Amino acid sequence: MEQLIIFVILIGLGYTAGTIAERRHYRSIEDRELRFLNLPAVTVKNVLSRDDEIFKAWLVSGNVVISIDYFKRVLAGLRNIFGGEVRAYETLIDRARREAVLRMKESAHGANIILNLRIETSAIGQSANRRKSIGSIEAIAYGTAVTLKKTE
Amino acid sequence: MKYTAKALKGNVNVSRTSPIKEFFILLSGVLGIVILVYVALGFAVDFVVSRLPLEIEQNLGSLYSGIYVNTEKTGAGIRLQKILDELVEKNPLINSRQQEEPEYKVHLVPHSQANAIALPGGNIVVFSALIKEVDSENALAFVLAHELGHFANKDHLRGLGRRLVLLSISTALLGADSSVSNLIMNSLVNVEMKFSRRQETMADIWALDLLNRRYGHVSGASEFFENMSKKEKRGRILYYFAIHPYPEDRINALEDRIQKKGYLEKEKIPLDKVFEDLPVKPAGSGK
Amino acid sequence: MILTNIETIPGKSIVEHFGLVSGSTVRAKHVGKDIMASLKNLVGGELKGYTELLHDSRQQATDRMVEQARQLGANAVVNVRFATSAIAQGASELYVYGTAVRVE
Repeated sequence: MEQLIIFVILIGLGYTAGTIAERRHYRSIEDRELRFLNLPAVTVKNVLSRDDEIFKAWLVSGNVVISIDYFKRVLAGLRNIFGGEVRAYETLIDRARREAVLRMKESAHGANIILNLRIETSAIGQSANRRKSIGSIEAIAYGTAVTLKKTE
Repeated sequence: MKYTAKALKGNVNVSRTSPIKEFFILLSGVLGIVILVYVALGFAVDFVVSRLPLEIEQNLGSLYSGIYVNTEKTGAGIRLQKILDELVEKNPLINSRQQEEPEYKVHLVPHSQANAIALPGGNIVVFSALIKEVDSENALAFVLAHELGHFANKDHLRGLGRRLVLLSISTALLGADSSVSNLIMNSLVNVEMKFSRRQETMADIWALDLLNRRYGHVSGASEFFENMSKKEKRGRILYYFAIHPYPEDRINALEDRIQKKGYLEKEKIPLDKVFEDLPVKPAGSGK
Repeated sequence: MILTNIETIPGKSIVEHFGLVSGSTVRAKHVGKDIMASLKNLVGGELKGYTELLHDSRQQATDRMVEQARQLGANAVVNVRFATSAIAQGASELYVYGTAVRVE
């Protein structure tokens, strides 16, 4: 009985705290995305025109590890039994990737564009703790930042 | 190539569905399946239990009671064993099933919980705090008879088997994810308790009959429950979740039986002096 | 919507680009299929259940990416990359991303 009460409390706590944290994170992501709207990151290499003169080019990267709340972890565990879309994990990976891209952009001071962007995701913390999958992922974004010479 | 800055509206990568609704749908689905499997396997366990040979049960018992074997027999322990032996002599099942009864042993264990347990192999464990709750030998004999009733109904093995089934279902179904299997275990324990409470009532009735056979009257049968219900201020709602039925319900059930069978109430035998001042905490625990 | 995994779209010229677009989805198969797959693992060979699962989810992820590109006013996505990762046991996560462009 005590276990059940603790479990329900954990679920409730996970849900409220998780939802609040997620909403706050999304708000911050959206704010910063608008701020960096003029710094595009593209997966291609040849977007620059012939008359653009490159001043500087260097590697930039950003990474983040995000975990989900207890409620969603339980929800995903239940979903695993029946199969289908695991919606509980959607926000986790979405947040992780957008955050990684944003951190990459934040580290690219003065760049005009980021070329050949690559994004990798991996689940961490599972091999060390196989019995309790902790449901956290790492997203890393990397690319080549390019600063153009000012052509007046 | 020119770049057009445009912000995306909405988020196509995240579904706009209520996670709480999904949670409850999935949970009820899982519980439905598990309860179904559990009930089916539970019947299988009951079937096996009633046909389990005594040797296997003895082996199981020795695995279980190994912890309690080394408790030395004090004066109180010996006296308790004597009360049990006198009860067992009157056990109606002894004659109906030849040589099918294990040797019943009672272990007195220092513990702060007022409870007694029936373990496989005829082992009864009585926690010392229980003895503090009774005032007469008759009441103590009723508690022992109650545990004998569990043996007679094979509840001790049934409980073991069902718990085993519970464990195997949750690990087979969920494997790695322990939080979910915890949840299911917890919900199933509640279902399990419904079975338990029926078993407790049946063991009470059985014990009452045995008590009458042993002493010729049934005084003291409900003494323990009366003392407990006086002491415990837990409400009825909490008892809904407890293993044992509400004490007053048990008293009522006993009184019904007493009236139906016309059992007598006579002078109770006072509790032996050896039962005074028993340690409540385990000896090694320090504090 | 034209999708390619090279820098350009042969025969067309890119006139405008809109940056990164991406789509993702996480899917799990039900326990029955998981058990069947683990049995199949004994003898090896194609795990049809999982092939199907991954194909379907990759399709859904692509659809989501295309939806984003459409919102931005693009008519093609170039240099598309697929990535797969396992977030939790039994669930796999598909990710598709590329650069939204307008071609003529």
